[in-house]
Amino acid sequence: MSLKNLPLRLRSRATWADPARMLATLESFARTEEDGGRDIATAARRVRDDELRGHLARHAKDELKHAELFRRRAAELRGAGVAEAESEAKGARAYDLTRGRPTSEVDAHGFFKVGLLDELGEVPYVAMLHVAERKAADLFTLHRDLTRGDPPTCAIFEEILRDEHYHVAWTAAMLKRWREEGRESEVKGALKAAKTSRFMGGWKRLGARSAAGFGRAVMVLLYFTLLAPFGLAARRNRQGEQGWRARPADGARPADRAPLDRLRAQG
Amino acid sequence: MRILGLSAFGGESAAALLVDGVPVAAAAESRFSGLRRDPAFPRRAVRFCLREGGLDAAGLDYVAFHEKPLRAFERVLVSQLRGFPGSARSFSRSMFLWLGDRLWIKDRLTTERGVPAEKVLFVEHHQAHAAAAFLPSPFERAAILVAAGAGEWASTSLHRGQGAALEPLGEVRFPHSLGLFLAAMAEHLGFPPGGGEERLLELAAYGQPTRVEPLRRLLRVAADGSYEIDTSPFRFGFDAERLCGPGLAEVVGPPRAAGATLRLSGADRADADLAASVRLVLEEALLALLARLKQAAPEEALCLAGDVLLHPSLLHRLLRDGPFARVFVQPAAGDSGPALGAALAAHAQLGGARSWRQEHCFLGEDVLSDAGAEARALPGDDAIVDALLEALLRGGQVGWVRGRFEWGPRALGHRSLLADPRRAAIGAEVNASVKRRESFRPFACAVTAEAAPALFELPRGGEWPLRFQQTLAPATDAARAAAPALVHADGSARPQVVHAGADPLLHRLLTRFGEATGLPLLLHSGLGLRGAPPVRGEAEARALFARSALPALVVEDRLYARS
Repeated sequence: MSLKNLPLRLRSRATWADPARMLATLESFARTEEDGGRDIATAARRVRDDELRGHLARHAKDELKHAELFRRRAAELRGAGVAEAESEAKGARAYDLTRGRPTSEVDAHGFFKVGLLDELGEVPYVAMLHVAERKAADLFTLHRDLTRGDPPTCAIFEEILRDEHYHVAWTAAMLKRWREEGRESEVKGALKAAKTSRFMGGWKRLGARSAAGFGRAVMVLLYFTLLAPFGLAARRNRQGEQGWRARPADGARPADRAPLDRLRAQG
Repeated sequence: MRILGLSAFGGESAAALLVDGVPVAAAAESRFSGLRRDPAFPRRAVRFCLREGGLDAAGLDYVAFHEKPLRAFERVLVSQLRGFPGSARSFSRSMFLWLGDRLWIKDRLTTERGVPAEKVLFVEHHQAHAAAAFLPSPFERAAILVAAGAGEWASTSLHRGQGAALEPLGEVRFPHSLGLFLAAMAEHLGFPPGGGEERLLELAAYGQPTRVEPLRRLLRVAADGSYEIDTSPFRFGFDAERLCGPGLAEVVGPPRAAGATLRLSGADRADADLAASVRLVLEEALLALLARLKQAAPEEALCLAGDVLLHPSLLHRLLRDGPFARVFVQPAAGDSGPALGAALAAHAQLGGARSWRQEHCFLGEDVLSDAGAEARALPGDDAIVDALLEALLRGGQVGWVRGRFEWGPRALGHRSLLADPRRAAIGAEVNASVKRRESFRPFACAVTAEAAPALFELPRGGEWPLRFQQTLAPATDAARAAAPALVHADGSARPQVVHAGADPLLHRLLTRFGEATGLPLLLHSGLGLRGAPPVRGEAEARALFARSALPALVVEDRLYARS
């Protein structure tokens, strides 16, 4: 087995080997494709360039078709007796297609943000699609290889891969056209930003996790050294203050504190 | 005076914009992020509020935050030390959070939002709750009870309100907290955090309070109306993520593993019995607090806030057996409410007049249109009501999205799922098509004000809670016979009483449904999938429609129907 993408490969293999996770994964894929399709359909309605509108409209249709394929396969599995994950926790361990997308492109559920075109503009939007679709093609190739033992599911990935190749091709063609129209630097910048946001997203997550781990380790060290005597003393009053505690009314506080000063105080 | 109120880092963050004492916008961050509860800084809610007010940060007079961060940090630090040495992990976690982020809210507002430091104000958390409960209420004078998890130090507080002034009367301090006690018991029963409390109280309807005595030893009510919690079997004194300690199993029995079958019917109702016992001891503690409050503030009216008082079953008991004649509960009584409360309190303390009464909850974002080609246009209100009625009579369910979304957790008619309640299996059908909730959970309903007295035993003094779907009401025989799916195991239902003046369109739909079926009553729930808040705009509503088996959806004046 190649070491390339080994963790992803192992996680995906586990997903497709477990019927409950497979079901949840297919439904998750369906949701993601559908949200992507809706966002791209919205984008298609908002652009003025005819060629771009045509590609976006077809792309949106493809994504919605993928959603339907995934949903139909999930329904077949349900019909064949595959049950829901027994617990929410197990359902949550389903492979989530949106993990392949940078967080800036997805909402809190991990779905494509509706209206991304408005936020980014045409060139960065297509550049983002281009980078995302290339990544998606890699992911779907992996999933196709891992589902060879399940021909109906494998066939879905085969079909989707054909569409993904078109998506990569049309976005590349649009970017090429813009380059030839003298927007070279804009295209270059947009592609760089799309790639960097993926790379930087991963790098930042790694950095944040490392820093958080180190910070927490320092805190634990402080806790058992500097703070230990205070902790031992504070334990005596573990139950805290009981019964009613009077609070002075704001009007009864020292007169030299005007309302605005009281409100500005953080403590 | 333009004040932006903010709540963040608690259970749910929110923003509210007040212009001359009147809120022009208020929304929880979760409505934008799509999470059920979102405690992160309310970036998107702030953006929405400013856009709605036509302002940028420079146009604000003040930004009012819902807590005093230094005092809250003091409480966290002291409680971590009290938990020594068992609090090592939670200490590192909470210090990392506080020192890395929460403590620097003023800097964050200054650097990220461009708000000058002198414009940033801090209102005590319980004062913000009390302001959110009293200042929008219809009462000139009222006693006020706030019962929540934990503020800076207070977990429960009593106040008196008169005009625009709030007078604090006393408080019970952390770790003695009814909110945390309830959350810990929900955790023990295997419910996930954030929403588990509501499920526990709904489960209580299936059980008998057979386990009250051990719980009374854990939650002791004092003669002066205060209460004390034996914190030894709990961890919530120092750990916000794991609330129960191993000792709790010895007192109330072993915990239910998450996902394990709930014991709520047949011979073994242990989980439901424990839930019923928890509800009873909470009711006892709340009634004692109200008795004390009545002594300290002998007013006719009562205002309530805090997430403990969001629960309809508890509120019903307080209405039925409490000493106050009229009650108002802030519709966003949980952790989002203090965003509005902080702005209202700051406005009042800076000399602003009390100039707003909360008669509705529609302070959120208007529908973001994204019409699909398959939509059918509905010209005018009559056509909308006709389409809704036809969908209900033909398919049994319809989604309805219109106007600004609701402030607070309840869907009150603008992001709603409506269903024909005459079908005995409608609850299961709604769950199968959209909601996908646990089968033991009841559904709320909407009923015309004219028909409500015949269908429900409306609680005394509950006019406002009934408008905002905040309390239970026992169903009459007529309701039980006509709409069994709406009646919970203990014979109660959760009606929203709709007045023609408050929501003419929903009232008209209910009336027309009543004319067609003899029952002006509809099952009413939020239009959202399990684990998500109600939908925000048309694109989300259409996505939900495509994803669910809902037969029809009306968005503003457009109908989407399944072929």
